[in-house]
Amino acid sequence: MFKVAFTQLLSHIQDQNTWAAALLLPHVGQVIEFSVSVLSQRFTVLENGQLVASGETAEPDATVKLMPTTLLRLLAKDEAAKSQITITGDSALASTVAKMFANMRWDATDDLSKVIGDVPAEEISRFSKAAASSAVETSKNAASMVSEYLQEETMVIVKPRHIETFNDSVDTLRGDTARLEKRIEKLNKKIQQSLAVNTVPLDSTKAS
Amino acid sequence: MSQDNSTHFGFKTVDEKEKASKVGEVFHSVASKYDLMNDVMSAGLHRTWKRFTVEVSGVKAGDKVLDIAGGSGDLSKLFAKKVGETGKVILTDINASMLSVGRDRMLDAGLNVPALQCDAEKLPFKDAHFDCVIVAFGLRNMTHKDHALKEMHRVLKPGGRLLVLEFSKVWEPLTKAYDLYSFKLLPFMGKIFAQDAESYQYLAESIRMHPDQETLKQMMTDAGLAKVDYYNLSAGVVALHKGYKV
Repeated sequence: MFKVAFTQLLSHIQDQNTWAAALLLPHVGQVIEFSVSVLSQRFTVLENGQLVASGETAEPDATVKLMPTTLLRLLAKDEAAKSQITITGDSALASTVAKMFANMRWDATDDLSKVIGDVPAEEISRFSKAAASSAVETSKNAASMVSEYLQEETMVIVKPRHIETFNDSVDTLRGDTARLEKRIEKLNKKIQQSLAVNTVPLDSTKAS
Repeated sequence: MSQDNSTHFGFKTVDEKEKASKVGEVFHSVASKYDLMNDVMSAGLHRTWKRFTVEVSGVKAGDKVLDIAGGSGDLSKLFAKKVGETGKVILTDINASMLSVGRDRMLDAGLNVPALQCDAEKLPFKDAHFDCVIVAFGLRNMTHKDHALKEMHRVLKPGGRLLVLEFSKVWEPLTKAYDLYSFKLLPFMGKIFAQDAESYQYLAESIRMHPDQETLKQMMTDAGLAKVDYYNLSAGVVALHKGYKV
């Protein structure tokens, strides 16, 4: 029943974002597969420009692969994470669908207003947005507090500049060790040479 | 009765000429309680399956849709909303009792949906006329499924699609529970709610005799449809097949 529920939700959101159909119409009948780690889902572009979950035997025209961490970064609007996405097949289809998902918004206020009316829906929506924004802010603060504690107090997590300093020290130490090794080698050679000069062969002593 | 001219009617083998009238008797008998029984038997799921079918059809405003074996008109009603005033939906069924239930419902809902009694194996429409043809829970009752599929293909416009919503092969681990439900509980419910255990016994048997997902996919391909794909709904209790005319 996942496909049924997911398709109906997706269709509902697409109905609220009518611009999306025009974007997808050039790709009618094409199938795209999104793969996050071991989980994957295929979508088909329909004749009316809507995107639905594909059937059991649909073959993908494009595949988008990403790691769960990349997905989390994308959800957090980290632009740099886009470089971690692997696209194979029809890249035009992949970029269109990605653009659609990135810009599609669920108008929850509109849905709620049909049940409880415009004014209460607007108030609930405003309250929910404020609560969500406050929750995000609080979590960011808590995360930064924990990270500061782990970096400064317990030193469980090391700061990037500390790692850089440590790496530099390791490089210096490696250089110093290499130089010392060369000097020891040189000294060994010198000792060997002086030993060879000062040593008188035993058979030459007998002869004299 | 020669083997070549025989077909199945549930688990029984009957003469091909008899099947249509026997199926007709079954549906004439259940017509008045059809919707109630559908709700009872599927716990309301048939509504979800039908809504999903409409979503997957890709039908848009202005399209022409043919609803074959549409009976009580559930799908015609949903499609009529999709195609809007500029489009057209035609509700058809071979059974007059079922069709009259559907026709009345369309009238009651204020929808302009013509109802037409016709045989799906001989559709009275010109070639390449419809954007979408749908047959829901009707194909298994047809005597020559291959003829019917070819006819549906014929009336489709190039780029049009055929959707077949039908009972199918359930997910293997659920087979025993499903058999128990179909052959014990279903006729019992038919007796209680529709005073007609026999018709519901036929329903269970006809489901078992219907081709599984892959076989139906192949049949649609053989009828000339391309890019045939299917969705398993409710663990394969029902499958929705979709194919295109190219």
